[in-house]
Amino acid sequence: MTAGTAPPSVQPASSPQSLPSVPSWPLWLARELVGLFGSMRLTVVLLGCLFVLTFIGTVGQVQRGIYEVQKEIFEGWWFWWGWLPVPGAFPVMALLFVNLVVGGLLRMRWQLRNSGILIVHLGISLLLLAGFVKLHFSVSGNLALFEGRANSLFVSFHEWELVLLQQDGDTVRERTLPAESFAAAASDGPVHIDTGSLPFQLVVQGWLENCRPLPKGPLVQAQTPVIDGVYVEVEPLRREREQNVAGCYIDVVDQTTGQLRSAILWGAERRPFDDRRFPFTFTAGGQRYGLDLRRVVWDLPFNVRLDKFQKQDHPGTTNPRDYSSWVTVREPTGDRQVHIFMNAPLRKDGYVIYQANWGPQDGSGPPMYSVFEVARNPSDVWPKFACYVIAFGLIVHFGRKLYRYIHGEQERRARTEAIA
Amino acid sequence: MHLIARSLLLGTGVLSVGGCAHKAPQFGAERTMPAAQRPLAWNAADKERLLLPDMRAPRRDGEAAFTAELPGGWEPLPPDPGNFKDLYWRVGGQADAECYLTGHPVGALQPNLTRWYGQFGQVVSSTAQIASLPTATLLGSEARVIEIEGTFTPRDGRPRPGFKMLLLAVVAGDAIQATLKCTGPKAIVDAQREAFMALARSIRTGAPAAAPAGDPPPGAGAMTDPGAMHAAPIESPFTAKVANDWQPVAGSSKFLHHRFGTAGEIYVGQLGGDLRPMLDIWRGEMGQGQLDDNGFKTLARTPMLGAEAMVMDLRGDFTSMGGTKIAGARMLVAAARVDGATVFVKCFGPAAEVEQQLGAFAAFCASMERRP
Amino acid sequence: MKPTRVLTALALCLLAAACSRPVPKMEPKSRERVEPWNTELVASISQLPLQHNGRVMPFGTLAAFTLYLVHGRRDLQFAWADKAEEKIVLSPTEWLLDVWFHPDQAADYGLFRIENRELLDAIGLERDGPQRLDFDYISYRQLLAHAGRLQQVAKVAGSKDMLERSQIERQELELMGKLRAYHALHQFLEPLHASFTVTGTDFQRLYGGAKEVLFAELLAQGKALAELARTAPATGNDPASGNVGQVGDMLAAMAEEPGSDVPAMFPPVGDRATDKWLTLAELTGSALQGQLAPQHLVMLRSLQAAVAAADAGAQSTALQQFRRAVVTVAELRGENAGVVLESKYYAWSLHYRSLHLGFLPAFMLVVLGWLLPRRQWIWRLAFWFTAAGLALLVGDVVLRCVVRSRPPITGLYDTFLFIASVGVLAALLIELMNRRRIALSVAPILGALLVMLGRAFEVYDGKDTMAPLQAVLDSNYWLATHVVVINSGYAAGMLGALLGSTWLLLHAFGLRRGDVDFHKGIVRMTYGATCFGLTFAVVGTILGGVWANDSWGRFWGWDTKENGALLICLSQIALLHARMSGLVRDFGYCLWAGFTGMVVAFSWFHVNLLQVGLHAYGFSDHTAFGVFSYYAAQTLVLLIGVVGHLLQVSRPVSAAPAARDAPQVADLAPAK
Repeated sequence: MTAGTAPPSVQPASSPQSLPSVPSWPLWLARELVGLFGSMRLTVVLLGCLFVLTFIGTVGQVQRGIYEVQKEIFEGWWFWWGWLPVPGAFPVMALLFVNLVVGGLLRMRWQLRNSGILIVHLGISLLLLAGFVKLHFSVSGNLALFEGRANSLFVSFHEWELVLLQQDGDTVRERTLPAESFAAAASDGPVHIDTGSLPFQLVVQGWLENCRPLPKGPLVQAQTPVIDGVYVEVEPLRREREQNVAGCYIDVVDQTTGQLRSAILWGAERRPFDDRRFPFTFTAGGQRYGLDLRRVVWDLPFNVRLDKFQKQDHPGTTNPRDYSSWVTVREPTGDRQVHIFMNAPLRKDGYVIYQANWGPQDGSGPPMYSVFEVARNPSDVWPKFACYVIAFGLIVHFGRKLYRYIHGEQERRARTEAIA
Repeated sequence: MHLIARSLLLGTGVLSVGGCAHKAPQFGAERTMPAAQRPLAWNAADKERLLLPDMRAPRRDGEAAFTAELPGGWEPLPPDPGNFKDLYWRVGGQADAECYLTGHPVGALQPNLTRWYGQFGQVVSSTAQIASLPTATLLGSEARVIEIEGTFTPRDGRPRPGFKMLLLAVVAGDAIQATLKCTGPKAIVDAQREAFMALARSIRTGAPAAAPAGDPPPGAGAMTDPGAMHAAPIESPFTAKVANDWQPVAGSSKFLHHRFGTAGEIYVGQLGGDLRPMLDIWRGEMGQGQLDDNGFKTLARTPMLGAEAMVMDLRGDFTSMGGTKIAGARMLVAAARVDGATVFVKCFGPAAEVEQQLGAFAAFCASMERRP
Repeated sequence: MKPTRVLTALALCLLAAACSRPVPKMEPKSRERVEPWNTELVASISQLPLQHNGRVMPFGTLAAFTLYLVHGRRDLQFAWADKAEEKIVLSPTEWLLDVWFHPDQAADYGLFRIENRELLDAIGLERDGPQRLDFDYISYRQLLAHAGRLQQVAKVAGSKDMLERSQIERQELELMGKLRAYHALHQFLEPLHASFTVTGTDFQRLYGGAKEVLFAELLAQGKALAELARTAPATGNDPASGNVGQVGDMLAAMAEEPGSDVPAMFPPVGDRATDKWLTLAELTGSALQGQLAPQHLVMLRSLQAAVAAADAGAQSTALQQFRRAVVTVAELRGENAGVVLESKYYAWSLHYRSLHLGFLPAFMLVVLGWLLPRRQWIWRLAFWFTAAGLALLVGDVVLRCVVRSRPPITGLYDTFLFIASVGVLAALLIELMNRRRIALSVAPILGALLVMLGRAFEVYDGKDTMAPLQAVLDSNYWLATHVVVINSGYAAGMLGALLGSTWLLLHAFGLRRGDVDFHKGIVRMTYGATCFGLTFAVVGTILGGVWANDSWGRFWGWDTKENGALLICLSQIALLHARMSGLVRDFGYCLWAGFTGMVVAFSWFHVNLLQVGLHAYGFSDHTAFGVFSYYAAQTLVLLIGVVGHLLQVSRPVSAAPAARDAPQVADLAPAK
């Protein structure tokens, strides 16, 4: 301040703002939000939350199995931890993404000295995006094939669906309904399914996550309803979720005749021994319909045939050293032979097929069947790319710091040498 | 402070996005595909559709073991050979009256009598009293007629007063070879007595069935002595239900080694190597040639040690590697791949003696467990 | 600290080390072998190739890991009761030779380590007097007498879910496993110890009229024996065929014996394509079918001669003959060179030498250096000793890679050596950069601790550290990238924790309080370690995800090990951001860096103890003890730091920091 100028006008002490002369609340709100979401302290808090959630989820897996923990703690919005409502990892990471973009990219100065950090932040945002895409847009399941058999679909591990089927000669028509839309409600009471213009109504009377139908002998007491001498035995949930076989009771009401038929639907798979499904058959409005409860099926746009499966053990043991499959993939240009083995999947048309397992594992083979895991994930290669970007950014950023540190230490030593 | 307030507000707002509205679920759009993509079996009966137990007989040849004439008013039920029910009926259309045939040996006389009488809360004093009971014919043999009345308490049900059990038991020596058992309210059972006896006379056998697990006799599995340090392994790594008439072989290096009859033997072994060559060696002992691939694949199966064991049933003249000879012998081998080794049960002897041990062999295999 | 005090302390340590535990005494009646094993024979048998658990390994490796498993030590010590002062120390090779060639003597060795006296009660073994030590050794003979009871209790324990077993039940199961492993080896050459009576003139004619025949000779005429048995009458009393039936039966039974626990000593002859070696049982089977190869007969005969030998000289000759026969075939198959190299690797034990020739002397020099800071040569020497230790350690890691033809890390044991190498290397590089002697002080501690822990792990785990890999891990590319990078991240995390803890302790005890530059220097080094650690941890974690994506089709599965790596990344990223935003300063930073060390330990070990997930290696009480000890120690340091910081903060700042700078400036003259 130079001498002779008048002091600036005094601001009222109570006003915390120094806004331009046209204050508008949207601008104020925007600035506050940007400040809030871009704050580095928020970063620290969010990272801390994610740390705690990861820890709870890690220790919790021991008792509850990974599937349940993943669904509840890592992919859910919130859950109860004792008597405390706690946000899940999904909203925390969503907020982290916003924080990263606002604070780590938009608010940072795009200067050379920040180049490393900016690159790293770009990489991490790509990684978080990849995770989001995988969560919401990816599917995965398995495909088991005996040698010489072919198929072009794969089956989910955990998800169930109700399927309405019709067949005219060589054509099958199906309509599916994911079980998660009625399963939870069905445990409490009947769930009506909106069948639209179809000549019958469907009511799901009960849903069991893991069960087995059994014939009811005269001296057996059944805990669940008996239909045509068959009831459903409820079994405890397995920790490995894919071993649970679901079942449900369903009522079909013919709208024209008013006739009610009840049926048990059970999702057991016979694949790869038998590819057929056995739907519950009924007629309504002069047409034959089938209802099936099955693991969700996705169709592949190409056909895969297993030509040969080979398993090699370490000599004198049954530890598998290597197991791999030779498959033929049908393409418009001709058939292509591919060798699929551990760490070397087949990538085609957005699908990836991995060598996952084999069977039968109880020694009743040969013949052996090969089990492939099939996944469709739009963000399949994003993490690899993000990895390169992040590595590059970290090396750039910390490399500069290291250089400056070494330089600084050399100067310090030169100074102390000069003094001595 | 208002920073915290704002954060909480925003947090709540963010979290509430997660909620979703409820509406009636409906099917998705229709999709068409070739039938080959969705192989379906229409109009399947519940038994097949729901994989009910008696339909899951794996890869055994489905010979009908027994046939009988259905009494009027009785309803046939699905047989459950694994559960003693070779033939099974609902009696007189009554939900709680049943009758079933167990056409194979069920073990010793004493324990079975104790069990049946015990289910009616009665004590059987001695098995000798059975000799004074009237007889009837079952499966071409003389069977004793046992009648027990009282309050019936089945293994997995609630007590039912006023019940009666009418039972035909073919007794040979100290063992029960077959039973036809009818249980239900006393009035019903009395009314159906004639029909029951006629049914018993009408039962015929087909080929003898591969014996399912018989009623396990009391007494636990054999345990060999820890044994001399140099000779035998520490102790058998397996336990199994051993029949009463088997004699353990002392000082044997084989697991659970027992003798029966005059020259019958049964023991358990473990192979580190391949099963196929051993199968051929055993076939050689019975004077038969090697198995071809097809023969290997079509071997019968039986559950053992939590896996499916391949079963080989051979007849011929037995000549062991060590020179033991048995003319007209029969050999049963059940081999399963478990935990990295091949475990096998080998039973051989004169054909007639082995035939009597079919049930015991199956029980032995089915009950075999590995110690941890 | 005055030099006299230091020397007294050292002397006390040496005294304590000299007071070793009393060795178990053995009754002279068990003595079979009078002289010690010939050292040349032992060295040469150590290199004998055999196949076990899926790979061809030297005899010495099998002996060592079996001894570690059952005995919990690297050697077996005892003394004969009639010569109590003469302590006998058996190396693993000597011990296994005793087991195979003097089994009755070996059966009385105090072998199975029992750490819990209640275990003895559980199996019905009487306690031998009051508890003297924290563990006890029981012999095979004693344990076998109670084997039945042990099997019963082990069965009960095994039937429970893994998480529900009590400690004693886990120990019962472990003891059962140890007994089985030892028993397989003990029984292994059983047939060679017996002699077989041969009756019947035709039968005896096969063996030149002999009435007592050894096992190898029986098999030598295996086909003829089988033929004779087939044509002989059934009675077994025939004067011509005699007991050929019984003998044949016995041999046939042997052919049916299991082969999974037992080492395969006989390399396949002729068929180059097969990689499975033959066990004695399989050899018996092929002998009965007349398919015994001449080389196998030579091996069998020399092994038999070694068992039956009358004196040590004859035994030695026979064993050497056996070894030569096996090595000849193994060399043809190209399997011998690796075995010899592995044997040399274990003989040289470079990582052990890195302790004694590198890190421990360096540590003592460092301590001396802080007492006499002006002596440059002490520091220079400390640096070179540390560098020597590092060179030996790196040599060990490289040699392991060559022996296995694999990248450095394939199992938990390898991580110790690798992390020690990277940690010490990083510390030495920091020292070269700033010459503050702090990194140099920390380096030998890090190296020595990790190598010692690694050696303890090797013994307590009792498993072959070079075991063949499972199919999913069988990718040299990923082993060389993801595993190496993430373990480097662990190393940096531990180094950062060590540096941060150093700052906390110095700060708490008020050492060099006025020297701002000194303390800042440590903080900066900790910061550097965090940056290094963060880079490798983040990149390594993502690489792990990319590997999982190529293997199982999912990049991230919230598996326990993946979560552990993520926890490290989160902790370090949060730490850096907290520092940048001013939430933490020097004290908070070092405290957090120490905490990150516990997160690294959690990810490195603790997740393996949780017994779930794709990386579950199984429970180990010793590992649990180690991990929790580290948690306790680190927490203690953090608590001291907090308390010390609060005390320091409440004290007035000491005057004239500049005056304290001057004497240290001279100390900081460059060492080179």
